[in-house]
Amino acid sequence: MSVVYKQNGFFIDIREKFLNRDYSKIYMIENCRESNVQSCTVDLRLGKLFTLKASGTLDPPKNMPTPQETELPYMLSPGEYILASTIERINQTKTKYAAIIAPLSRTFRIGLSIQSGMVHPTYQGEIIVGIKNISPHKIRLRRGMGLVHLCFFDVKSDIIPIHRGYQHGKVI
Amino acid sequence: MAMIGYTQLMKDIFDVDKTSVEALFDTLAKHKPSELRMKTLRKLAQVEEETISGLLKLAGENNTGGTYKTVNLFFTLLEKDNILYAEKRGHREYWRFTERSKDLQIFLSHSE
Repeated sequence: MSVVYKQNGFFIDIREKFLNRDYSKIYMIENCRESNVQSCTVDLRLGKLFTLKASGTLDPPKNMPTPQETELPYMLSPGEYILASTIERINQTKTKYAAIIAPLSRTFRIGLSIQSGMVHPTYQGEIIVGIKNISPHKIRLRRGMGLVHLCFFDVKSDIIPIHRGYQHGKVI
Repeated sequence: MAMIGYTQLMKDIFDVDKTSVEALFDTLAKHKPSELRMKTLRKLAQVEEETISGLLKLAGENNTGGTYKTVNLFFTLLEKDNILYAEKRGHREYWRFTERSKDLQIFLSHSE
């Protein structure tokens, strides 16, 4: 729907102007829906799932489980633990916010326990979270379902770039 | 440490200023702005503060019945969206633009 408002004899299509997004620019969160922006949080959706394959005793960083991408929808069995990445991608080139990842209430209502970390001010990439089914029932996970939300915080002093291996979406 | 709110998030994620005139017009458009409704709103922008009845009189319209009801409904919806603000003084309700919509008020007061 377009709204036309008459001003000085010219018709300006206001809604079209409002919705025209410049895709050459880099925004803080890519693939984000406007409806997912809440009063002070941003909802993130499930994009990909990774099952973890491991043998023997896990001894980080020598013996780590290898993630393997699985198809969606996925039936999560009771007690099963998997990794999930989000559709949205953080791209903090202009902004320098720290963010806390918190599970949506709808996830723990059905018995999904979500393990998450923190987003550093220079982070770029998808958000990876761990999901465990703590309910006695099987749970179907679909692409696009709401999983976690991000609360952004302003960092007062100067920051330094991060150099950890699991940052910037290089490694799942 | 302060949490980032909706307006700043929208600016950073979509490059949309929710307090801009375009964004406020987008909100206005959702509430079916008829010619009568916009005429009354424009009058409010010019006089700063007035009752709906007073605005309709200024616009040269009938200030009772359906004409009053339709404008009252429009203003109530705009109040929910934080564009207008109603202040009760006795039996009368005085309407004015909020701080957020000052730019829209300036735009409407100068447009015909």
